Amino acid sequence: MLQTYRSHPAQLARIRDTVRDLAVQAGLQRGRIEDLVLAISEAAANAIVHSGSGRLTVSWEVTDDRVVVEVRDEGVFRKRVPMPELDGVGGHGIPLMMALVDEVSVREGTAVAPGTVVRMVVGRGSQAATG
Amino acid sequence: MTFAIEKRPDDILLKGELDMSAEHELTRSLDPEPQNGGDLVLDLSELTFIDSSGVRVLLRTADRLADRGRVILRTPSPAVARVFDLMRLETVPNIEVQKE
Repeated sequence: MLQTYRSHPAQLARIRDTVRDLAVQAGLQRGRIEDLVLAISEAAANAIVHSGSGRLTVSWEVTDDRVVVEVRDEGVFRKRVPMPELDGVGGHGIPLMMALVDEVSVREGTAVAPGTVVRMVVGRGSQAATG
Repeated sequence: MTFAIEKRPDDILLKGELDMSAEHELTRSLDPEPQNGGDLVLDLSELTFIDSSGVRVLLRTADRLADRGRVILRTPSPAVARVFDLMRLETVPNIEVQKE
């Protein structure tokens, strides 16, 4: 399942509705569904704010034991170290994603090879960590 | 309805889903509150979703009030309370999360 969205904040609610439905179909537990929906929304928000690309795609794959989601833009990843002393109260998106799902990885888009991909994985079993 | 703000005599009711598309609207709405110091009470019972940009507005508001008042976050839904827990909002000196 692959869906393309215009890179605009107004699309976030639509993205959440779509992945919430998919998560229900995949049989994820209720709490895990909301965690995954928020993580995807954070990744999409980062793509919209930081990537400078006009669209983003969300791919969704269900296997026997897990759900794998990729949020992909067409931009260049802004490399930086989180510095709370300098950043004020921003910059919590990626740490929040890491707290919400079982795996997060970021393939950073570069000037030579644009397109940042945030890949997130949650287990489908009841043994999955809930923090 | 994605997000709505309802100012009432004693508190402000936030409804729907709060993400970055509503960040400026909420900031504008909270900026003049409260006029003379004191606590700012937000009723979150009808807020079904919040992301890090929504939390950011709450943190900025608490920062602005500093020692002149608190931000009271009343009756968050389980999904919203979950985000507050993960981001440890209750550890901010002038933020109080009232779960019931």
